[in-house]
Amino acid sequence: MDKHRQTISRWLFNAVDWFIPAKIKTNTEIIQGARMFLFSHLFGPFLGHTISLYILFIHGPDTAWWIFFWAITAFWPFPLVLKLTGWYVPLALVSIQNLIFCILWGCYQYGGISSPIMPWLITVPLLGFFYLPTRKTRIMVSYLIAINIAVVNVINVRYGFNNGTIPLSELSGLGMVSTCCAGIYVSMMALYYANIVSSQSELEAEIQRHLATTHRLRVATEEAGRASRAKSEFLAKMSHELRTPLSAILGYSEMLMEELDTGDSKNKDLRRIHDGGKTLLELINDLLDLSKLEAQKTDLHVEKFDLARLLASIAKEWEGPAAESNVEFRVKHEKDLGTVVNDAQKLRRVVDNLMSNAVKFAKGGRITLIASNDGRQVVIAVADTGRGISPDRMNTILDSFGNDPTETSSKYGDRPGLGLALSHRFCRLMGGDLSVESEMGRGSCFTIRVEARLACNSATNALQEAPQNTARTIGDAENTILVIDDDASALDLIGRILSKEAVVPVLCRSVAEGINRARECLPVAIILDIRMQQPDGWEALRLIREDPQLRSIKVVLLTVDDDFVKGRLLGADAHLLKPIDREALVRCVRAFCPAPRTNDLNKEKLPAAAAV
Amino acid sequence: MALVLVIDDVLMMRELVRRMLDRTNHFVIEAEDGETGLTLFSHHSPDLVITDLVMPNKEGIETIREMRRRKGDAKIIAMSGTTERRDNGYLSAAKKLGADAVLSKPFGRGELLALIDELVDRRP
Repeated sequence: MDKHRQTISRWLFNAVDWFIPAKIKTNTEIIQGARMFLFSHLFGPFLGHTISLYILFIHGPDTAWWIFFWAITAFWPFPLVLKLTGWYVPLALVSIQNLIFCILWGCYQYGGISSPIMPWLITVPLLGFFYLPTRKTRIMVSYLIAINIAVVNVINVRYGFNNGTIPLSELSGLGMVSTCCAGIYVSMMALYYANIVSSQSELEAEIQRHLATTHRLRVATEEAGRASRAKSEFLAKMSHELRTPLSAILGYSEMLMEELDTGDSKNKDLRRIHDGGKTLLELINDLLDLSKLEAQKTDLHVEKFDLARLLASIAKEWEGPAAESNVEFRVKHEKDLGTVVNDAQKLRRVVDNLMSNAVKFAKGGRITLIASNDGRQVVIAVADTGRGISPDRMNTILDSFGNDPTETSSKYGDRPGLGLALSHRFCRLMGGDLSVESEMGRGSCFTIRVEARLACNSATNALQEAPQNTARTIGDAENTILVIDDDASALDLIGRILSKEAVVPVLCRSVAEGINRARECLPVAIILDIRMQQPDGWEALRLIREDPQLRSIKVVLLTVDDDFVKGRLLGADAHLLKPIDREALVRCVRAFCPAPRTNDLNKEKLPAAAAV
Repeated sequence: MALVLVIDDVLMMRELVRRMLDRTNHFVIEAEDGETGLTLFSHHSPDLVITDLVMPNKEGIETIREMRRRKGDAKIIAMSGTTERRDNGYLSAAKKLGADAVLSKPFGRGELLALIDELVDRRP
């Protein structure tokens, strides 16, 4: 039963809504009024005709009746006219006028002042205010009613109200019919109104819920941000705290060793203290690196470097230790390995880690370092002729944390397997992977694969890509860069650097000013300082990314600490460290504003980022 | 024979640096925070300043910036124990701010002495 009712009401509402013209659909002021209007005009005349048909039944048609009949029928086309023209207010006023006419005509013809149709006058102001929501229009309705009443009085004075075409005595039933119809009509309107109002308030409740959710999300994000920052600070603090006593251990033991005679037996003890300290240092470094990785705070410091030169440097470093361990060490690669765009330091650490393991396990054997670069991927392999890795350990070796009993520190004090886990993660971070092959008794080969040109830093590459159809609007927008920083001297400095680069700088001291001017001039990039008063740079970044006009503008953050990852996640395109490094800023600007200015509106797709 | 100002909030570090400079003919004065460091800097015009970067009261970077402001040709070495030691983040910022060199903890005596010799003119 309930379901039927729901289906019917839904159908009803949809039927009424069909008549609403497009331009009113979005006008929240009058849309409810329009719904009442349509409902009234679609269903009201049925009740009106109940009365007219009753009169027809008791009296038969005459001219007066026909006028009455057509006036009521005239209501039906109104919805269609509204849909076609959209002239809501004029139609509403005409309709009310027509209603007043119907009622007064009916009164005049059927009973005069005592006519049972007179009570219908009550519905007129009711409908007037249902239809028209604004003060202005309601005043118009009031005038309309007043004018009509005035006119009727004039007619009354001039011509007098007779008793109409039908004497009152014959209208006995009409009172009942009229009152019933009026009652039904008003109830109908009220029910409909209640329904649409309740659905309106449901909508509003939902909006409130959404707003509440958004607020909670924002609070949660801020919390997460705070937690993340707290974690960062903790890591930095721990790093600092741990290194101080280590400095003492390493420093004093080293000095004592230097100051004692070489033959002194105490030297051996001091050497052990010193080596212990060094091991501790490596462990701490790895631990902190791993923590950073887990907290997703590790940044890639991407740079362009000569691969062959890096390998040569590594090779030189390991010649000595290899010789000491009686291991033959060979390096195999083409003379020119080209330039690589990736994190050189991390790559070096990974290779060092592999070499250290190889030297440990290939005593008296051979280590080969093989490298290649095909332009897309760099492959570096470290192969040793050690004892190999057992099959059941192969699965876990790259991710184990040294819990394995067979992988404890050797007598040379080397650290357990923390390094491989780190190396593995580093490789992944650099856009590649670390893999291992091994055969028991024959040897092992660890292979590093990383991207030769790491995507997020291919500023130069992107400029050579095929131009895409990202049309820009104004010619000058190409070379406008907006800067937001509350530090006047920093702003001035950046402004001066930018001006020398054929760029139009727009300097703003506050986020509010910056956002407004960005909307006006649509710069090609926005340089944002993070450390400002509320609203700070993060807030500005959020505003920019949420604004449909500004969303596609490149954003460069100025930071003191390395919040690269956070910035990238929140939508920044590049970073510069404060204090401003002129060259870094210029490089960044050049990446976003291609130097040869063409007037072609189809600009190339701008590079993703120029991480510095 | 140089006057060296060491600024570090940790006593152990100040003592270590002093011990490292024991056998040289450099004279060491100490400060335990940036404020004190700046006061000593102004009063005694040391030939070299060795300062930690992460300190309460006045961050090392601030201190370096201020010293550079007061005396353009001051010689300043920045020390730090952040993991960025290998990744060039924080320390390169220090360099950009006006430190002449960076020493990442832990460092050895040889390293320190070599840096000092490099930065300070030898005087009889």
